[in-house]
Amino acid sequence: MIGVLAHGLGGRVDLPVPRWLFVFGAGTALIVSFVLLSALWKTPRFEARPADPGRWNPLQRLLTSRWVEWAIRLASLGLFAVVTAASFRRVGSTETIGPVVVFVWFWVGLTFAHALLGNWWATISPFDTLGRLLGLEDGPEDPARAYPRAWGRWPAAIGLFGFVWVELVDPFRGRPGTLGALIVAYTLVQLAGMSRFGREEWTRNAETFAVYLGLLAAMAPFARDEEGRVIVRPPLAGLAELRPRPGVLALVMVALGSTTFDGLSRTSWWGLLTGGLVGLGRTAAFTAGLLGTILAVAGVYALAMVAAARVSGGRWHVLAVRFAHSLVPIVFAYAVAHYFSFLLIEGQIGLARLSDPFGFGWDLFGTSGWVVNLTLLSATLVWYVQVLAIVAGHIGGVVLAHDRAIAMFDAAFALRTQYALLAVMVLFTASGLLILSG
Amino acid sequence: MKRAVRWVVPVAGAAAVVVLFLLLRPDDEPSPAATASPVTTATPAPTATSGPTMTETGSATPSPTETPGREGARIEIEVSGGVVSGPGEVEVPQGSRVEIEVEADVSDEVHVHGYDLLADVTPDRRARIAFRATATGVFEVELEGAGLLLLRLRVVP
Repeated sequence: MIGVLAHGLGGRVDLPVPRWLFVFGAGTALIVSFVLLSALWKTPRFEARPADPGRWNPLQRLLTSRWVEWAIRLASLGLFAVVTAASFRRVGSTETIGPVVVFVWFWVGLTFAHALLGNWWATISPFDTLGRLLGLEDGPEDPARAYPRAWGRWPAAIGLFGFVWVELVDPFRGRPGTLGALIVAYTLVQLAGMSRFGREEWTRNAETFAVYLGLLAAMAPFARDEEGRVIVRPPLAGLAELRPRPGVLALVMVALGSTTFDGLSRTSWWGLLTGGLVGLGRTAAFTAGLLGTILAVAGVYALAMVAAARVSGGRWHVLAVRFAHSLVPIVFAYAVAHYFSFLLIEGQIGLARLSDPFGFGWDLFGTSGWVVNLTLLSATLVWYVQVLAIVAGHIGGVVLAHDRAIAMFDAAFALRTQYALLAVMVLFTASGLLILSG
Repeated sequence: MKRAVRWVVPVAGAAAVVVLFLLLRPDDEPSPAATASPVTTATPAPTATSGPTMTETGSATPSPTETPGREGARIEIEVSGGVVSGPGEVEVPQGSRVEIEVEADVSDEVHVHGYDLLADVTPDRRARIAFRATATGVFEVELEGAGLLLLRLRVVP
């Protein structure tokens, strides 16, 4: 049987959000924005917050133990090897463990886990573990050959575009087995980068998932201090501590634009527009749609920053970089709104495939006969989660932007610079809701 | 005084959100999440599994939908020269019987995503897939090998 790469996983889509819930979500976003800006939050709370102290206790010692860390690393590397091998098989996308782990468990599941629970990738990344095992620690001694500062996070942003292109445009549909080759190619690039620039330096800047998941983990209420101890902090607070680097804004735009495009490409409108296209024509149309959506999102943000710069003075792109962190909660909100049911419904396929990872007909844990329970989530529940996520993401974005504005400018002035940014947040929220209801 | 004002705005905001919700929410909405309580309308239990339980609900079904009723929907699709002729998108109420027939000038496989139902089609044999639409959502029906979208099936509560 000829299967497809990722699309076999995305064949079920949520029903559009009903009109009344859309109006309610947008109304709530406006009311909450007004309350936040007018009554609460007169002084910065996130900016220049003192560092959270970690404390040693038995649990902390267990969490920082090298034995525990390496047990997790090796288990994760083992799963990675199985998934990669399975992704080479030329069978349907749901017949092996490959695509479901990559696109559902890994991509969606880790996005959620990082925003809520902190940076797991630092420990479970198979690329990092391989780099450590191969001893690719040292960067070049000659500073002239060191990782160029101007590159910043750009390699990660480009890598993220590549990943979402493979996932959403699905150029290799009808060619199962390509995913395995892509994973191996990505791994080789990472190892080459590590051996050239040093493991840590490369991972921090250029390993797409380390950068993307690290960005989301900054909003989590859990983090680690320098000694590896787990600390608890207010949600979102970590985002205010991010240092601006080249490419971070591009990465955020790719994340935001790609999720928007994924929603857009599942509307009836897009389906009827491109339903008849196959092969290269389809790939071209979807690529244009993905690029166009990312550029449109970036354009809206740039316009708001130009408007804000006219009020505050200074250059708009400096402001754009300084407020980029306020978009991260919206990235997470979009991900929840679009992929929450995908994780819980399509993710079930992974449980069945654990028993038969390569599609050979094994039944290791007795789960291979499991059938996906499509009725796990009612349509109403999905709608409420979607609207709640979008509104909560909107609130997070407004709070972070407002917090930084009152730290940068004096209070009355800060409010005026905020109008443009608030307009962007409302626009992103409204368009997020609109796509869900389309 | 100032302290009081600080609390009035958020409380008023929260109240406004609640009022907005109560005002907008359609009150006659039949809750699809509710566990089967077939007192008024005899809708097929949405939580029931898609087994071969042929519970034909007759008599009082007071929902005059413009789309095919709960008795079922028959959808015919024809593929010729890579061009699909069919309804494009069909909406059916949850629990209804759906029958999809595909005629094609190629040999391929028809795949109803989500429900994950497959049927072979050849130039001289049409594919026929019949099932009860128990789960809500929008499901794509594809000619699997060609990657050609045949139909978007919308199952609404």
